[in-house]
Amino acid sequence: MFRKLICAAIVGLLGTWSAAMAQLEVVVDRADLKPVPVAIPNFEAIGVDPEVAQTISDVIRNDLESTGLFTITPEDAYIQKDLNIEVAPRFADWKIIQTDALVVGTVEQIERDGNQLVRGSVRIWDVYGEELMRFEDSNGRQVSGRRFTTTPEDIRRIAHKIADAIYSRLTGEDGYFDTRIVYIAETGPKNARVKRLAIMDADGANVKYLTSGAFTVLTPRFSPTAQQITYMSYEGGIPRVYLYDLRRARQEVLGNFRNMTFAPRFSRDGNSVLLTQATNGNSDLYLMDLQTRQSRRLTDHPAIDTSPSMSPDGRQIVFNSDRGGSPQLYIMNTNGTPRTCPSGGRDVACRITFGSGRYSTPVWSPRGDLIAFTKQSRGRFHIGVIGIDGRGERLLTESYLDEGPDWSPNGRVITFFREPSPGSSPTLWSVDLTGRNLRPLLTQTDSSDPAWSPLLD
Amino acid sequence: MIRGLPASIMAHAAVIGASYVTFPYWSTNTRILASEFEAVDVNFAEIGEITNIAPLVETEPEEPEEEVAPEEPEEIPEDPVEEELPEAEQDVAVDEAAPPEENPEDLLPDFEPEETEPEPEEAEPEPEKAPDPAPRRPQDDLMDFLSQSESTFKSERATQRERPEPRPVTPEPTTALENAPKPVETRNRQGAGERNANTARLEAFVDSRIRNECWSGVDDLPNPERYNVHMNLRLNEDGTIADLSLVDPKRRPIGSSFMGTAVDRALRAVRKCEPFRLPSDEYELWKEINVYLGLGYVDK
Repeated sequence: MFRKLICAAIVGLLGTWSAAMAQLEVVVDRADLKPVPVAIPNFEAIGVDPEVAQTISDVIRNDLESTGLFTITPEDAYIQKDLNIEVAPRFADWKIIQTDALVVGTVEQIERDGNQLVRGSVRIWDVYGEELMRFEDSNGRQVSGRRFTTTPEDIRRIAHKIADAIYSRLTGEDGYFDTRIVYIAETGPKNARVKRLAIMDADGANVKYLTSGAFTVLTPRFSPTAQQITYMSYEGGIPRVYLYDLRRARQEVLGNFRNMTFAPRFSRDGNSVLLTQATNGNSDLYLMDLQTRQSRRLTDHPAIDTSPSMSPDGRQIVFNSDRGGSPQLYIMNTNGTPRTCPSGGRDVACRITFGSGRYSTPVWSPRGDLIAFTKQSRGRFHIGVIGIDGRGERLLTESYLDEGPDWSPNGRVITFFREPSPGSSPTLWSVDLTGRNLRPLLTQTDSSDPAWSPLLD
Repeated sequence: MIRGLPASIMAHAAVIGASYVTFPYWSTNTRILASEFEAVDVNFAEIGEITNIAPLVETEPEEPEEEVAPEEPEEIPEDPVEEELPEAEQDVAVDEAAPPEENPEDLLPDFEPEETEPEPEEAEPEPEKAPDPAPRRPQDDLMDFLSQSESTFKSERATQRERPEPRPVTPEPTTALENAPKPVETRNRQGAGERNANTARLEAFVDSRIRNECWSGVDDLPNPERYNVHMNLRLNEDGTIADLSLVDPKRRPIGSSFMGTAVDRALRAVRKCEPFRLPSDEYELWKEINVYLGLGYVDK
């Protein structure tokens, strides 16, 4: 009897072992990027006008859809209508309509310190995992939802905040919807163009004009850390770099340079501004500390050096120079020490572009690994990206004139301006880092030179 | 003593079996969620209304109405102080440090069910609706494809015994599985998923479904080769998922991260592909599948 049991156990073990060995091994290296289907039913209005909830829901849907990474499940496909933010949905109803993620939210009116406020709350459900998708709060804790409160006049910002939270949870990176874009609004005939500094929400809403148009303004750049803009203005007759404080609505000339200054850009910490000064036909780079207002010369070369942009860690600067005979991109150490160049040898400034054509307006990605640029080649303009070692150049766009790239604060999207044909009007566009999702940004006027703000607080 | 052994084994097996069968449903019950939010006040970044920028003197033909520099000196609004919400509205951090031993559950831990709230009854009978009709057609095609091949498999199986080393037959729809070298972890496995025609074809089918219909990849993430997910999938005979567990990484990283996104997408891909319609007479071959998603599993 005992022997039989031993034999049975051995046979059983062998059977189990052989079954375990009979595993399939499936390796899938990559798949085509497919937009994630997300359902965002209208948020429930609790004590507020349903139109408020509708507006917030619409803005969230538009924000997410504009990325090209999501498709919004149409409302008429919904099976379950009785959603409640406090109750798990009927997952089967959402699987049938092939929705990956379900966003459920409320908009309610609350009173605090005698003020009437609007509060938006949101949760996301993983339909196929049949579980809540948890967020991480600022303290690193996992929470089941996000909640934002503001005044009734600012409900669009609640929507952008919620869209950012959803985007971040589904993509793993920060969103960019609660941001602004500063740009040059152009009006009037081509030979008497009025160019004004303008600012709008990233989705084109809430346009405001910051300058009057009495003088031409060019190349605005947002501070990555504060509500400040730097730009070149012809106010006073001589082109100079200015600093504009959005909250105080005050502008000031930056530094007391004797000559023309242009092509400004903030350092990543927002504490200094890189700019170009032209002296007797020669242009060199300078770095101005915004606290001390002291400037330091970065390049001293007979060629034209311009369009500097600093790396996120502040240690390197990419700029445009014709020191090699044609406009190309170069990288230097911020402290001016020699560096080992990717193409070999050591130099203070290393050339990183060697393709045919002319490269200009380099902008270092917030992620730090790529540089966006404008390239002119064979009569066409492109927006492209290249690795900081000069490898992996990719052209993302092509047209009669594409120029002036700038990164979204998460380094995912590039905005630029385009003139599709000779004499046509400039308009703002954006394109995903991958080259997908090329789309226009709608503005009230002709527009150029867009620059993205950081995420608002 | 010895007589009691089979009874004890059976009793234990019954308990384990019951747990095994009911476990997947433990987390699918409709729950009443505790109010647990991160509350954030939106701080207003106002744009100042009074500026020192020179106004336009000339009459502009097309002046937009929103001109800055208004006449009346308004007070520039201060940003509201960012306030904490009252205690009751604050987040309830349920599991800032998820219990390391509870691998599948750490994403949906202990919500407090509220007895007062009525639970919707419709939530229970959901599982019947789960098999969606839409993707059946391609599956059926593949079933035909597979069943047509079965006779070939059987004859091959017979001859395989004589062959010293079974070699995979490359199916006509070329898949990465056949071309891709084995992942590092699997190379040392002895006899696991032998490279015979049956397994290769079954693997090609699963590969094709996940790649073309269910997974969206990670090519949009920076450095996508870093985000690789290894899962262990156990299937029921009807092709539904009996168990799906993470092998590497062992758990989803907390919060928003690229690795977390890669894990979410990988798990979702396998779940979306359910049910896997594979030949039932070869259930022993496909009841357990190691699924590797990511560029890192392909030898350079």
